[in-house]
Amino acid sequence: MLPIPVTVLTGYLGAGKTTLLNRILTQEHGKRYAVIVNEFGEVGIDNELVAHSDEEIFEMNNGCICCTVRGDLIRMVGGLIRRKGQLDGVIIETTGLADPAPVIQTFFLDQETKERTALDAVVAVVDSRHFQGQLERSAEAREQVIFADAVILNKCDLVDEAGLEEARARIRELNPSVEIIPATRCDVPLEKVMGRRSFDLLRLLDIEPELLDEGAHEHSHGHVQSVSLVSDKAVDFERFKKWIGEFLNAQGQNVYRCKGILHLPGEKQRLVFQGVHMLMEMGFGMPWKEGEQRGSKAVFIGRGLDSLALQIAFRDCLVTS
Amino acid sequence: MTAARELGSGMLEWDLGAYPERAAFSADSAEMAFALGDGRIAVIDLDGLEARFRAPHEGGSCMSLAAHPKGGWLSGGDDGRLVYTSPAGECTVVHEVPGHWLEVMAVSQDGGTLAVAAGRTVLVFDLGLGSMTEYGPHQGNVSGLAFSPAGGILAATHVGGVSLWDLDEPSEPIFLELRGLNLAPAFSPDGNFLTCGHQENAIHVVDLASRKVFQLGGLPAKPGQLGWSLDGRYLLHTGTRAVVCWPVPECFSQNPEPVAFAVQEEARMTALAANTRIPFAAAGFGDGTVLLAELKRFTAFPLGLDPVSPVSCLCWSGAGLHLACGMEDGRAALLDLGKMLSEG
Repeated sequence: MLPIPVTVLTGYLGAGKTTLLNRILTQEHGKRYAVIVNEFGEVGIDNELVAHSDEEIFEMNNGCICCTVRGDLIRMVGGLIRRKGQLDGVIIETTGLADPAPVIQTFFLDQETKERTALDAVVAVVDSRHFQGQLERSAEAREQVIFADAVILNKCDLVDEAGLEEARARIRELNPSVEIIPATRCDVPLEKVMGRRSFDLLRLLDIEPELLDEGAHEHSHGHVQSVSLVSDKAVDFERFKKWIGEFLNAQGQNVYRCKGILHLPGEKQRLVFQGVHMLMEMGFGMPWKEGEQRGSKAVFIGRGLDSLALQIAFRDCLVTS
Repeated sequence: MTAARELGSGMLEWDLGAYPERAAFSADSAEMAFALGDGRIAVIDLDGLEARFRAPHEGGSCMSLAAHPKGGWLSGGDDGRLVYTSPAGECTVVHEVPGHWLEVMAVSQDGGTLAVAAGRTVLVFDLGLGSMTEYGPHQGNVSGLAFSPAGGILAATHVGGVSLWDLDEPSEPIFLELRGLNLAPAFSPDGNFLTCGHQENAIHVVDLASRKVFQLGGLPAKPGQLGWSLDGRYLLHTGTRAVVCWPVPECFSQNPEPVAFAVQEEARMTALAANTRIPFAAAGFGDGTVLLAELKRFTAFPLGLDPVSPVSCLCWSGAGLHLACGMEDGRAALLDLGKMLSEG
């Protein structure tokens, strides 16, 4: 059985998640998607493919307070997949105030869930009109953007061009690599939301070039920042593995997302990695093309990151010939 | 109606057309039934040998199943309904908890008491009197239920621990704190120990007299189902690539040594059912193999099933002579142990 793609849908209260879910559930797209919504949430959709959860979060016993997972999802995702026949995907809606990390971590940490599903993407819906105020007031609103692979910039018809540009800039400050999809009443093509394969290591071919200059640079917004590390040199895998392991162990709580593409000496394939807090997966990705400029790149998004220390540590992992 | 296929040596097989979630036998061991992922149940006469379908949870999924002591079946669904299906096939809603999945169910050994979890609450039905009592709310969603062998105690697992309810004096439960997500409680046959699985690849064994808790950690996978050998000497669990028996109480010592046999290179155990009459356990694996494990000499032999789809559920009849097997691809099988042994 092929793993079933799972999309995590976040967004502040009133951003338009319900509109999007209604579109997904009622549009004639010939696909079967199951939706898990919060039982106390705002989504009032009654459909046989909608299941209600109570967002039961618990800490794992490994001593790391950032390793929280969702017990209800372990049960419900397994249940939906086993019982509902052929599903084309599962969408998990989180309440407006929820931190998306426990949802994502569930897909890394529960073996059965991991085997039967493929985390597809984290999609955040934001209200372009009220977004700025929400960002200032709410850490959750910021975190939702930081964790996202795609942001649906909804209610575009309610702001002018300048307001839209401002909103885009604010999103980019928080999460430079995110795809921004402008929308009115969430009228986005379904393939922009589902089947993005953002967590598929094989699809991680490059990190958006506009984010990366030679060396490291930094965007920051409040306490959240992103640090990019770039080099055209190869990386010594043993040294890198040791460093990233220790770094995430010590500071994973502050690292919301990370991803990278590494050039290893003599290796035809890219080594790719991605992580959420202290959890990381690593594997060989697509091969380098003939004549392609190889290089090593990594992006860390988090709070209180020491960009200089990251830069030095990354440089220490490079192969000097 | 679906006819049976003979697989030889006391084995029969049916195509049920949907994922069999649970299996159960009637009180008189004359019928077996499967809860199916498409909301139906399949009822099979052990001598009539044809599957009949009922639809207690139309449009939803049937997630739990038990026999009613007076005949018929009780099933829970993702529609929040507990439904009684009469022997004639008539479906009646017994209770409804909108928005909850009635997935976790347990029946007392005498079949007279049924417990079903609805979120943080447990509903206990006295099937003789037709009465219902609510227990809870618990600290978290109830993930597993088990009755003690004598039927007086109900164990409910959840995030943060296990709650033990005295059914004769339901006031406050005894709460045993165990951090993390606990699941699959199982009492030892003498009722002296309670075991439960843990999300993080561990098992806890509680000595109920002293309330001391022992942990077996570092297991290869999450132990989703637990069982005891008939004599109560050994504890078994799913998630392993072999049949693994932990001696109790010797496993409380440092570096306990389990008895492991019938190694499966390719697949982990996905379903387990210990026989309550003879020292046998049935173990189903992810590649479709079902082993009959003999727990005196620690040997096992495979049943003659096509190993094509993971085993989803196993259940022994009350008399211990029939084994019901469900496979994820919608097949169901019945082993007649007496027939198999007499045919060698």
